[in-house]
Amino acid sequence: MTHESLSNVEACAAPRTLTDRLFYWTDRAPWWVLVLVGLGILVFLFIISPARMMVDRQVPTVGASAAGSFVYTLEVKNAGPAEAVGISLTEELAEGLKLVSADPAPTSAEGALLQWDLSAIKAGRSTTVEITVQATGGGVPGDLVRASTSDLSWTTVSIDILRFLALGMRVTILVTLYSFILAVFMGLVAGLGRVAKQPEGLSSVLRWEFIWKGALRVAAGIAIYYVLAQFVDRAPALTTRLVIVLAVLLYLAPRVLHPYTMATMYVEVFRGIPMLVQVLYLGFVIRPFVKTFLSEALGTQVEFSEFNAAVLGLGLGYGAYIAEVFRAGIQSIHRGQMEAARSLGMNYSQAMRHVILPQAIRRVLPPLANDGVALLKDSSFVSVLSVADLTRQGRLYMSRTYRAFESWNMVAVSYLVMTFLFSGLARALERRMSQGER
Amino acid sequence: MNAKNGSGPMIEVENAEKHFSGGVHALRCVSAKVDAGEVVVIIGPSGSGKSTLLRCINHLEALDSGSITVDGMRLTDKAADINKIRAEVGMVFQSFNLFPHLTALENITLAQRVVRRRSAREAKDVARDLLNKVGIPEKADVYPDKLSGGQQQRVAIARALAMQPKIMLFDEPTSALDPEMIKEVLDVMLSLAHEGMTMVVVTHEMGFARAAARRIIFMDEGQIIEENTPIGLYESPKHERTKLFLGRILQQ
Repeated sequence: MTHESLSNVEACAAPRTLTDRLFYWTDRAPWWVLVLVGLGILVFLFIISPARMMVDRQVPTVGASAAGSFVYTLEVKNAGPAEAVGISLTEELAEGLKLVSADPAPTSAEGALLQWDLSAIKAGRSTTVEITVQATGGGVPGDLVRASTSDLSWTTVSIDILRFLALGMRVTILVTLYSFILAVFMGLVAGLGRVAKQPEGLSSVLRWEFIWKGALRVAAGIAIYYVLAQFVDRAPALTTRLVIVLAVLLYLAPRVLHPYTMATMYVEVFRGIPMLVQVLYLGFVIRPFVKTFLSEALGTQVEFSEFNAAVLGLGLGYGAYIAEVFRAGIQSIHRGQMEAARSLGMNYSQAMRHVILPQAIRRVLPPLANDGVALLKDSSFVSVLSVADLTRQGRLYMSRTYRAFESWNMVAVSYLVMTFLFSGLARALERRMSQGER
Repeated sequence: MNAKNGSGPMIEVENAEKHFSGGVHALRCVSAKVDAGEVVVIIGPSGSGKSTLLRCINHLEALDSGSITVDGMRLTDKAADINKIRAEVGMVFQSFNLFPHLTALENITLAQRVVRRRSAREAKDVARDLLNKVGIPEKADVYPDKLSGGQQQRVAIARALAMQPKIMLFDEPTSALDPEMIKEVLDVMLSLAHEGMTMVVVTHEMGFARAAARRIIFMDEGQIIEENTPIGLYESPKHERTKLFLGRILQQ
């Protein structure tokens, strides 16, 4: 973008230095190039990742306790993604077992230690080694499974990290997508509420006109409740406590139910609570409440999964930020635009929809994309709710393999790939939509 | 409702009072009448309340007290359908206020479709006719930022005319224009005046006032100081302030 802000003469000059040249193209690449680059990175990651090997030992249950000879197998699986070569398999026979024969024959056998050099295994394929043993003493196959370890060269016996993380990536993308849609919707509604005409200050609730209208409202409301309650079986009785609560709500209703007040309360509450706490609150307070209390009240089981709780928590939380983005966008449109639209006879909502919002949305695209990327990253908070997202899968992988470097490296790179793609698409969209306007 | 054709007041302002926050007294007991088919020019120094009066006629500003009647509909009634009245009153702004995300043609068709509920085709036909009338048919698919100021203002006039208003209000339509573009806008306004459109124009273009206006209203400090025919006002201004003001602007 730097070139555009320079004078005409310089803008026409070709980029000279290497960095100039690099950024010249990244700033102007069409969206499909960004998608291709993103896919390329994924494929590259896939190719350079080493093959992940798994060993599966199958001991027959027949003759499990009897002495004598039996056959057990070692299945060496390549879980991909690449072809595995130079595989060496080591097996230490359990105490009380004696080798009779093996197919294929071991490359070397020193006492109880057997070793095979296996030929290459393609991704997704496996090789089976059959071992026939003679139980000499009190050797129990149960011991055998625990006693011996297998070792493979250059790759470890582990779960396929990519396959493991791919699952988490899918969940992360879904969580982000759903909560972003929810957040943009909430943000738009609350943003419109925030630019609505403000109600009078709170002191106005003590004005004479408000007092007598409020008194009428309270009396009418409680009377209506009393009549309706006669027809509903389980309606709470009109106790003093309920009357007080109803009276306060009914009296303040015109102030509280005002779009501006509601939008402001929403923004202030959700912006003021840490995202992690919101997700925890949704998952451990609201979710059980809905599942038990609401189910009981309605008489049917209300489903509310942890995934949904996570989406709701993130979406509502980000909606509060996005509301302020929309408010800023709408307020940045010159007053004359609204006046021109209204002077043509459009009402407020028509002017908003046809004149103000189309311009405002263009302006808020960059901060909106910013919030989208932030939301994608903050989706890692949902891992506290046993939603199997990328972060949770990474942690699980690490706890199974004790390989912190590989786990978090892959998790970090996976997030980077996703955010890179997201911002690339946002930039392309921005460029498309900015046609026509300066 | 008593819509009037031919003669009779199209706009009637009675005892209009308007204060702005900060203690500005914008309109002081202003009363004025504009007949159907009449062209009235309002002049006066800046801050004299002439733009405020215009904006009140379109209800972009609400009066503190007094009443405004437009085409037989009382604007100041609480029950008045402001949007319906506004659709009958076209407004042209100093800063054009075209919608930058729409082409010239779309600028003209939007309100026709949204407010007048015309079909896209009908609205386009009207828009093309009006672009012809204001002399820029070739700019239909151009966005406002690619138009000159004069062209933008002519699109804005066409946009207001597309609603087939009974009244056109012009709020200093040429003040933001380069001198060579003023004429093209004034020509459009002149031809409108000759067609018998009821017009209220806030402007300092004395040539236009002489050629088109039946009356000139001189305002200062929120009051109507005097009103007369153009000739009458130029040649024999009654008030000292009018003389002073006319002397200043006619020198330029």
